[in-house]
Amino acid sequence: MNLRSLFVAVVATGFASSAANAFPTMVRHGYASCQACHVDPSGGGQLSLYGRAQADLLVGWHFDPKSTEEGELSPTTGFLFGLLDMPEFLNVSGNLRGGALYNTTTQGGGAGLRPLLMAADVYATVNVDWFVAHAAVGYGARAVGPAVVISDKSGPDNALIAREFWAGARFVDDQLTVRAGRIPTPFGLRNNEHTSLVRSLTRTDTNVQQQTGIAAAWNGEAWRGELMVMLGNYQIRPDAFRERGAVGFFELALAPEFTIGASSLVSWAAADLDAGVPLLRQAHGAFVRYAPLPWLALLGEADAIINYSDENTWGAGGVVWLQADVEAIQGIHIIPALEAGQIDSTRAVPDVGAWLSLSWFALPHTELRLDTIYRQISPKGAESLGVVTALAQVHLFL
Amino acid sequence: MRLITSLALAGSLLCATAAFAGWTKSGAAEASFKAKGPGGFKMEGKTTALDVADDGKAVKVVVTLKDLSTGIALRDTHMRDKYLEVAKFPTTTLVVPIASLKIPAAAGAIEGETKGTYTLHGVTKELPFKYKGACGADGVCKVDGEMDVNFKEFGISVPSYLGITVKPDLVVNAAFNVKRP
Repeated sequence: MNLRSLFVAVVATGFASSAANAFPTMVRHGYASCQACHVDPSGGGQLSLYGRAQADLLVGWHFDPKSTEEGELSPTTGFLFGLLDMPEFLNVSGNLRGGALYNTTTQGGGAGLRPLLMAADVYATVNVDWFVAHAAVGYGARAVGPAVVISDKSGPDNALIAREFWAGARFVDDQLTVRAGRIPTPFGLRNNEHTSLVRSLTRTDTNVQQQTGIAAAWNGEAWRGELMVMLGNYQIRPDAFRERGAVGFFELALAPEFTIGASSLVSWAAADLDAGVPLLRQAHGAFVRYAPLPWLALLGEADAIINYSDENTWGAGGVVWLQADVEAIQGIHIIPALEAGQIDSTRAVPDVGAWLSLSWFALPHTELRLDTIYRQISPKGAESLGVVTALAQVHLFL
Repeated sequence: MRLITSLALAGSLLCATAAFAGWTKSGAAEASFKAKGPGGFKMEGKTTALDVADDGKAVKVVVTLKDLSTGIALRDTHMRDKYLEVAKFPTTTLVVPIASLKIPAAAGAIEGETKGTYTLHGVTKELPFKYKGACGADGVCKVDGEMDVNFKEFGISVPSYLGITVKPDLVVNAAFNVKRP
């Protein structure tokens, strides 16, 4: 099998793990705000220098846990395991995810076992005083349509992609960030599982669903939030496909380990990418992050989804995501999750799913992860179908 | 810049509150501090190593700093060794004249504001603080005190670590129970 065919081989379900890494469960360490550790003021994606340090100290597994108490940080937390020193104004890093996926259905179909390249991105951020600019570009093997810059046969596969590129300014002791460009949609939990129903049905994942727009983010002592005016995704054409509107979230820290938030999205496209018809799309919901114990973090999100087409037809539904992250030993996570969701209110039952993921941050900059997912899909007018998916991956964040 | 993030301050924490001649500490106690940084960064340090002494004229709250923890081991190491210099300055204290405190004669609530002599990092200054609490029929009073401390005024350098610089203004809190003699 040549390299290209290896890259292109993917799943019928379009499954691919998130290109970015977000840690909403860091609330267990009292980090309700994400900005200290991430370049993005609302979290996820490239780590700041401070975040790289915390990735080693708080996220990574250590053969000798006492080693994290020593006086200086391991030099391996730097770019390329510390082999290259960067000037203070420049933050460069890489993100590589690859693995294998197995997929089958209760009716005997499915994609079988396939190799998978999920992300091969380079991140760069320039930060000079109040000015900040960020870009994330790379190679997308499959199903990266909304992020494509140049692709083979103008399709969604085998493409040069740009997931994010934005520039902005930070004010008020870095609590206020105003930026413009291609930005992750600020909505709900920024969880890694971008194929979860809560991210896919609301189209708010950090994999390829970023939007071009202007946004203002606040990270204060008691609350954080971001409001974005969506001007459309200019990496798709024609213009009719571009969604325009507004999206934002607000999150209140009731305690260092307990937050509640609300999100809202309203957008309009002359031709919806999925439905092909004019569509007013809305999603409104709430989310919570809570770490009742140092080794346990709980995440929850529930959203109502309301779609209105130009043909005077309404579609209403909702989606729910409940996830626990058990970290009895630092760096080793057991992550069960339950989900349910549907957009079409005329369906008798929603799709439901159960996840069980294992994640081991075994080495500096290295995560080994296994996701197993069972989904019961209930298409309108068709027999219900069970889908079993298993994904094993190596994630390097250099 | 390999400075430590830490915040150091913590130590500072300690604040005291009311205490009364002949009274003794009863049960658990906690001293804590809250610090802030850029972009919504927050940190809280805690320790239970708090003692209360009373010589009949003043009450002295003593917090031992060696076990002060912010929840991140390396940050704690930096805080204690580099900023608080716990080996040289193992405790922080607040001394308050008993006469300046509002003490209920029997069961009831107490609340007030006064000044105390606060020592941190080998530097002593007079600082105002607020306190409140409640005394029960069993003779035990719950006391909670809070004061603002600028750690730069106590000769502690400002921690800055990989782009995160801690603001020097802390909120220091102490909570404990004291029992009537």
